[in-house]
Amino acid sequence: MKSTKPPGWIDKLLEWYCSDQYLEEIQGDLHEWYFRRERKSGRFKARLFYLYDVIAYFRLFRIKKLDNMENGNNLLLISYLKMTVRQFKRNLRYSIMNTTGLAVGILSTLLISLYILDELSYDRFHQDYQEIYRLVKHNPSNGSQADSNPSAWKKPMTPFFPEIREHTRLGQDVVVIKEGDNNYLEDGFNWADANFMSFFSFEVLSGDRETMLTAPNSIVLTRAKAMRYFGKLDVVGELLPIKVYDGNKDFVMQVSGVIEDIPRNSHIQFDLLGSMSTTTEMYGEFDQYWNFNWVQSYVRIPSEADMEKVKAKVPAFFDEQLGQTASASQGIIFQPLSRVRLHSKEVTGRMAKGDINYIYLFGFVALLILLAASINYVNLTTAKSTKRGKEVGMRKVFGAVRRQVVLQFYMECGLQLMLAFVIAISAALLLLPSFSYLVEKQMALGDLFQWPVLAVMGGLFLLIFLLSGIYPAMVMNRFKPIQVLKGNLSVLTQGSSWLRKGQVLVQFAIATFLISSTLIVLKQMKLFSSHDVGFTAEQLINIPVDDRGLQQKLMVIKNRMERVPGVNAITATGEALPSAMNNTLGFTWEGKGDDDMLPILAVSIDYDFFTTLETEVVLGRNYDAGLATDSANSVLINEAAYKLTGWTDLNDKRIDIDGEKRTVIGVVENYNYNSLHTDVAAVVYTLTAPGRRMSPDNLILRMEPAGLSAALNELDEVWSGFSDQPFDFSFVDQSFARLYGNEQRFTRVVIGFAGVGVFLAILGLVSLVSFTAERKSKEISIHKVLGASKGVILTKVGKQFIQIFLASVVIGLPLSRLAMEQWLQGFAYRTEVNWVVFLVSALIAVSIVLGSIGWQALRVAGSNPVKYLSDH
Amino acid sequence: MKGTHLGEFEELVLLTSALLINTAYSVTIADEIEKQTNRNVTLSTVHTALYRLEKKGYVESYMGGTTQDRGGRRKRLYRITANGFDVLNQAKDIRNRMWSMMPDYKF
Repeated sequence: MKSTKPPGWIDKLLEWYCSDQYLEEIQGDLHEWYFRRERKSGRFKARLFYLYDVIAYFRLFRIKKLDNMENGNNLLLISYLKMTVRQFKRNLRYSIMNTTGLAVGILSTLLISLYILDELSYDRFHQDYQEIYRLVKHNPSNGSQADSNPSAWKKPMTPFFPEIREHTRLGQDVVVIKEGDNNYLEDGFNWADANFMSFFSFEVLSGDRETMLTAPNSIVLTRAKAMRYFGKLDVVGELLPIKVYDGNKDFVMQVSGVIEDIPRNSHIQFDLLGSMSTTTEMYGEFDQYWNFNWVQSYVRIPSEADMEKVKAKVPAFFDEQLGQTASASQGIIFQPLSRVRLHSKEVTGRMAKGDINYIYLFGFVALLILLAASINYVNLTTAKSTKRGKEVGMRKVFGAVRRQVVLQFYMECGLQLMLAFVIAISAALLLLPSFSYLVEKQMALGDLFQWPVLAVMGGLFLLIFLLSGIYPAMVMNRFKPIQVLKGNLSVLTQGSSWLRKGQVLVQFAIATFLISSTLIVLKQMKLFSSHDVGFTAEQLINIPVDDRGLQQKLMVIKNRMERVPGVNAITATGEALPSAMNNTLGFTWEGKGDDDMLPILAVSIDYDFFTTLETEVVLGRNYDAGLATDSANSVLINEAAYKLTGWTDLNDKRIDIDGEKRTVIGVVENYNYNSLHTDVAAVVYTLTAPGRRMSPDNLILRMEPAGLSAALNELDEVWSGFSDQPFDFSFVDQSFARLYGNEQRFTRVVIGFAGVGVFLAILGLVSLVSFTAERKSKEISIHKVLGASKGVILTKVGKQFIQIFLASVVIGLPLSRLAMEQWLQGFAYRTEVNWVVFLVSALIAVSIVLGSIGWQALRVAGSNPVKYLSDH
Repeated sequence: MKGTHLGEFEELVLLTSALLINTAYSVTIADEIEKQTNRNVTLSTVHTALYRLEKKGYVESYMGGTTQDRGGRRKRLYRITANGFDVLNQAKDIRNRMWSMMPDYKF
């Protein structure tokens, strides 16, 4: 076989990286080795191994660049370091501005990244979380979704869906734990299926994961609850008496396991778990109720291919179980566990939710801030470097090569960057607790050092480093030293002015965007508090009556409480305020024309419900306690339902609710029973006697503002006369405010970061102005000598900024409108985004421009021209 | 002393370079090791081992003649130093001593 030469391009690679010192021998050896291999095992293998060998020879000590540095100038490195420090000191104002701007930008990005990472980490700690799905009850006819579903599903589902490997359920319940004479209400109590603990990966401290929820009367405690009730963790076998209110039963539970406190990034939160087998007698009949939604269900489906089969079989499942057309209004959505936290906007339920849109928005804001900060930094660095033409020229004259000049600039950038990063990280450590408080999370200092954060920071560092170093390094190398040394500085500034203006434009557009977005967010938040919700929420309190036994005595309690001084009005209702209104019935009316049932929300109320709420009956009349027929046959509907019917009056009008004919006696104003995210749906108000599922189980009281605490104490006393459940109440207006938690967090973050963006924009402007002023100092001085007034000079300096400003407003405002309209889509009640918002944003922006450049411009205009003219 | 330890592969390279008087360089050494031990070696590992041995003072190098395969490039030849020979001997002695203490196994 004729021997060939080793492939040339691989040789080139070797020549490229390998230092001359080693090249000859290595290349020679490799070639010999190549021919030897070619003889032995053929050309193809030889070529392949040749490439491998060349790469394998890549050792640090053989790299060209490092080798040169070693030969050369360690001393120069020290000199560069010295220059860096001197430059920093000489331009102290610049340097501080520069470093602060960058540090603030990095700090903001860091904090937002932490927030986002925390949100994304939800529920991913479970083993094989990709196989776990949450069952969401779905009504295909009206699109509603809920996280609670009937316990009746599990039994028939198991044979029907053989693809489901495991199925576990969790049902919340209100219990009281009895400790001596004291009762403690536990709202973190849940009943769980026997396989719950082996299904999920919550950390077990003691007890057997597989069996701890098998036996009846078993209870599993978290670390916190074990410490709370026993003062120690080793409590397996101890007894804990509980009383279940809904079932009106007492149990003595035996502790069968202690687990670690539930991680905060779990959407499933509980403190105590009782074994589901305990409830057989109490709730066993619920397994027959296909409309009683009281459990959260999770299934494990290992194969994604099976998932499609399962989804396809869902309608058949309901049709088979409940009759032919059941699948029209019943369905299941299999929601992957990792999507539960952020993609559950449509799902109603009691579990805390995040919102993926906020993640995108926060990420976007972080990017903008970072962009603004980086631009600022690059801008200031390049501006500053153009003043160093002479220094670089001198270095070049003395024999510095291209690489050395580049190295010097990169080193300066690198050191300054490092300083900024150190400041940013230290500040992040200091601010993390307050930030956590602001966004209502518990983020630990250690979170700062998880690898995604470190990777983001490392990437950031490299990116800014490369960007900010490139420009000065390039420009400084382009010019001929002799020109600069002769005093022709224009070579340095040519062409860079539009670039700098462009950068400030981007930065300012970002600031305008943030200002206008903040205003829109604030306007929407104002709407939340000022919108006429149709009732008066102030001074209303809501007392939940969870105890089914107590509900029989509700009217007695009501009468006793009514006599307490300070209680202006009191009423009973089946839904708390605020309420998600889960009780949907089928509804049709006389003269509708077809037999289709429309969904309507049903609430049972009391005679004095609307007077207590201060809601108007706009048509017809309210319930009358004196009329016996009212309680049996009459209903009130709200305006939304009235509109559906298309009626023009109430003369002898009847509706059909789940097959029962009822006379409509009145129409009530649409009041917002829930947050303004959702519109008011059709509601029917009925009078329902105690003992039914929708019977009143809340008391709503209107209190006298004066002497509130005394009145509450007296109410507590009345309450204790009837119940051993602790007295629990909430202020209705506060409960409503809590529904906007996500929005309030968002507002705080947006305001904070808008501030940062504006700060960065000001920095950018100030630096640009002072840079231009310095460059044009001679020109301005000559103007002054020739008699130009201050005003003329100010206009001259300011003119270029007006253009930038206008352009940035034109870019920033429409973008903000676009982004915010998207955000507003999440609310049924939206504030109007009109020209007033934009005008105010533009005014704020212009005052920022004037404020930040005016001072600089005045300084220039007021300076003594001789100072600049006598320079040369 | 730090850095004088002789690794297994280094010992092999040192031995081989001692065997190949006047012709020891990476290619011949790698070749010889492959022949003697029947294991695959890459040139760069041999080279790196030689470089380390030279740093430790067990071999010394000089630039030598060329062959046609090398396209006229000179090669770096290695020869063992007195220190290197001592270290090989020590290694051998340690092994011999331990072998002499070996109990009489019958497998």
